[in-house]
Amino acid sequence: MLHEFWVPKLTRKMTNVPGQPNHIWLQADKPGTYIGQCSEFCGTQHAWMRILVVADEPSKFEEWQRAQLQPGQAATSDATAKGLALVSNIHLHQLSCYPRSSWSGLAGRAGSHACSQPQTTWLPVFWRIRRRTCALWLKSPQHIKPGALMPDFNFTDEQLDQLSEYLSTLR
Amino acid sequence: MNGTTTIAEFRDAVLDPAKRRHYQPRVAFHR
Repeated sequence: MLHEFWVPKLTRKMTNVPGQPNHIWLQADKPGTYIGQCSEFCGTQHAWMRILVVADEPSKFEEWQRAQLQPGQAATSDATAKGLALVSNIHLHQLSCYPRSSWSGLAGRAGSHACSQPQTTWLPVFWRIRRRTCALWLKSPQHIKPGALMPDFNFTDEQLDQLSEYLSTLR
Repeated sequence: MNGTTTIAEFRDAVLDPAKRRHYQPRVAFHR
């Protein structure tokens, strides 16, 4: 499956070929959040393959990097501990592929830091606002995103509640 | 965050190559 990485304000296009490592130079002259989009038709959900590049001042980036290297947020209750265990056991990409926001490459990082950038706070926010949709996404990806190759984790309702508890503690 | 792309800028860049960072005027290959 080919994709194409394209952030028009930062760089030219770069096709992503499976098994072929590619490199591209991104240059942002000013701090900001730069929108990109997959520009190689890659399937029925191509239009949702958004890219978001965050460019920070060096000092702010270092601050962010330091925070990323800190241990993750501890569970605050039994339910959140179980939710955290569930999150740790699955690939977070499953959570980050909610169709509104495949913008969040950053969410692929360690689970408890998934929401540390303003742009990736969508997960707990959507979880609160659209809890039923998010729960359905985790329970049955095909129902929301036909054609997706995401595995179905067959979460029980109880596990979905635990996930919800944990995700709602993230900020 | 003054470099932030607005949706309008993104749309313009998609529709108009001249608004992209690495735009190069097309050079004719034939003489």
